[in-house]
Amino acid sequence: MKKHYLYFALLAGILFSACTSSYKSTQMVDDVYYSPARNINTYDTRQDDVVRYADPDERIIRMRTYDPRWRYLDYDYNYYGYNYGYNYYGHNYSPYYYGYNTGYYYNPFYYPVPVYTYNPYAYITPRNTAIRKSNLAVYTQPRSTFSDPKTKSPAVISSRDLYNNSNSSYNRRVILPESRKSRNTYSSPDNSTRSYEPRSSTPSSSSGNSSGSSSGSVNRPGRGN
Amino acid sequence: MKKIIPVVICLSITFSTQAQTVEDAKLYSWYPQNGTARILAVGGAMGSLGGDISATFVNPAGLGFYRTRDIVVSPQFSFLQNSADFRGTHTSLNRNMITLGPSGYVSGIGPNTRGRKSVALAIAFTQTANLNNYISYTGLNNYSSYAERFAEEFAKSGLSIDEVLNTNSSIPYTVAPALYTYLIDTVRVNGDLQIRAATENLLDAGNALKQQFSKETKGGIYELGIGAAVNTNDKWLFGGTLGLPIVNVNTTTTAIETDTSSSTSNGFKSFSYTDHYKVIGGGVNLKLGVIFRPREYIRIGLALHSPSFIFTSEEHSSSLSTQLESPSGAAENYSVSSNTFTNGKPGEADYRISNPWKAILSASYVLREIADVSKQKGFITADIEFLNYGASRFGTYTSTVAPDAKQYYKDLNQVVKDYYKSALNFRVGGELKFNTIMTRLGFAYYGNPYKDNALKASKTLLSAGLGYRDKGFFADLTYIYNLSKDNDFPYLLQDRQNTFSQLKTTGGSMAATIGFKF
Repeated sequence: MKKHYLYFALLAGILFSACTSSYKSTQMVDDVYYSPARNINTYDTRQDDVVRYADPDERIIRMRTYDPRWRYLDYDYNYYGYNYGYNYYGHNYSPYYYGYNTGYYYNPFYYPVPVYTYNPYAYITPRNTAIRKSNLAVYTQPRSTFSDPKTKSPAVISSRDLYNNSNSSYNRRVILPESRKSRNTYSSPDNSTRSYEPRSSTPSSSSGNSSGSSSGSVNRPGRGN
Repeated sequence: MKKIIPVVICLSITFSTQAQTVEDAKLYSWYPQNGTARILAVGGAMGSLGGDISATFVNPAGLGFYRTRDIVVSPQFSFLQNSADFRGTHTSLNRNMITLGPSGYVSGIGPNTRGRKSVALAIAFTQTANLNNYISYTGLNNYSSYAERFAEEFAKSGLSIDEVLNTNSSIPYTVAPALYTYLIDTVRVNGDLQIRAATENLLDAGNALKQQFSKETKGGIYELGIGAAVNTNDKWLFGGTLGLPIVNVNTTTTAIETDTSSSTSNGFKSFSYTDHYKVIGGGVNLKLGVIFRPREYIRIGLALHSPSFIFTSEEHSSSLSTQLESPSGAAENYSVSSNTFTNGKPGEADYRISNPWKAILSASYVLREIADVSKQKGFITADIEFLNYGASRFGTYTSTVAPDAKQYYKDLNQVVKDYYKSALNFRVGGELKFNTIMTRLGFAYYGNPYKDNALKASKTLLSAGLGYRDKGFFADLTYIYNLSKDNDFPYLLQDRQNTFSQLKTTGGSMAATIGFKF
């Protein structure tokens, strides 16, 4: 519970500190009720446009003032290719060539020849694409085969109906469609007995669900080990 | 142990280990409407009110009321309690968490030309559904066993033991580990070879199993919404939101069964099975809305939400440890991971989900809609939401799928259609405004998604909140009391009666929203 108080304290702190922020309007707009048109100072915008597009040279000066990289805009003719490495200071800046151009430093990331690591013949383990399944028949068959003692109508077994942790015979007498003794041979109408009847025609490889085709057998550990 | 649940949003989460995909349909659609603290305080009703960033995810036409700009962030905290009744045993767990409600930026511009009074744009992010949850329950069972689901699945597969036990198995997460560890095996009964679980030995002898089930879900459904609205002379407002939902869910389910008898020669002592899957995906949806204002006080809204088409990739694995007893009483221990049967790494499956489309009809009475804030007195608003939970659909979208996947999803969609039903959800709330301070109350009810009347489920939310707006800043704080009921089948057997636990979620959530207007 202490964490809850911390959350509240944190929230309250944010609320009260934020309340001190200033805002010029005395009546704050609530858009749920009414939202007046917003004032847009179009005059200032136009003035800014005048400055922005008036003089190309001035524009470049402004750019160079803001960012030193634009100061050498006129010297970038070899930016992409030949003569790589030389400019106003003698070298273009490149984080990948740094050191090699000057010859002073070793750069472990620089390798002059492209390296391709893709090997088309490398063995890639196929992924198993078996989906997360459920026995859909469980949902379609009626789950309720005993009667509610009060309403006499069919009902699903609920935890309350099975309230008996002593595991006496109460549950099984009421719930079991047949006695426990006959349970192993219980046969539901849809033949859902658990007989071991593998389809002999099923080839072993067809059981795999992967996008690849390879599969190997897995042996069970010996019993009694 | 404590348990997580959403904020506002007490999602009651299904907890089923066998039939997860059927329950996935509910997981991705049965959750309360999220919103800012102001909207949650009025029950989440937002279908006709507008003027709040929550409109992006409910009725985007409501964005059309904006002619200013907001930046909003909505943290939410929850501290809820999950309880489960399973075969007479009551289990209770608490867990706290933090999440995020609608947060983002809204900008309204107007009046402008072309006869349109104003337009508004919004970009917002929210957690649509918080799926963080932890549930655990225990009970004694002398009738059926979780292990029997493996036996049943194996019997129905028609595969031989050798066909299941290979490095690229078709049932690698359930049957293969159960066969490998001898939790299930073939046994000759009256001359017939049958498949039995080791746990059936003690059930047949009249003894009981101690069953322990737990499920932890982490993650949620998130959505980035880009909304736009047009306000036509304050009479008709139209809006639309392009939603980009993101799903990120990690689920770990554990089932443990232990022999409660004193016998050391019934062949079974215990097993522990853990199933883990991680789903990551992204998709798209569309929300369209209209709000009509026949007169100053009245707002009527209609919103339609398309299904979210989400393309997911799932990574799946499981593990099983079994302790058996030899006829002499000696212990035999076996353990295996499903990776043994999936080429040494977790299996992967790609599939798409589409959750149901949704319609929201709403009305609001707002007193009054004028510029003078001191004369704005409050509002009452209500939503009726219709959706068909059985309309969720699953399918494939890549060529690398299991051979039986398409047919399985087709069958699954039919089961989802038959298992869930349509429902009406209600949200209602109101606000009283005292210049800069506001007080709110709300109520929301989300109906039962199950067709089977024996399965009771609902979500009820009661909320109360305070708000403050002044000097370009606004803050809202809301408390939500959650009461959620649901059911959970730990496993389902086709040839046995099935039992389920009754889940109940109670507790409070706190939602806050902080915003700046400029």
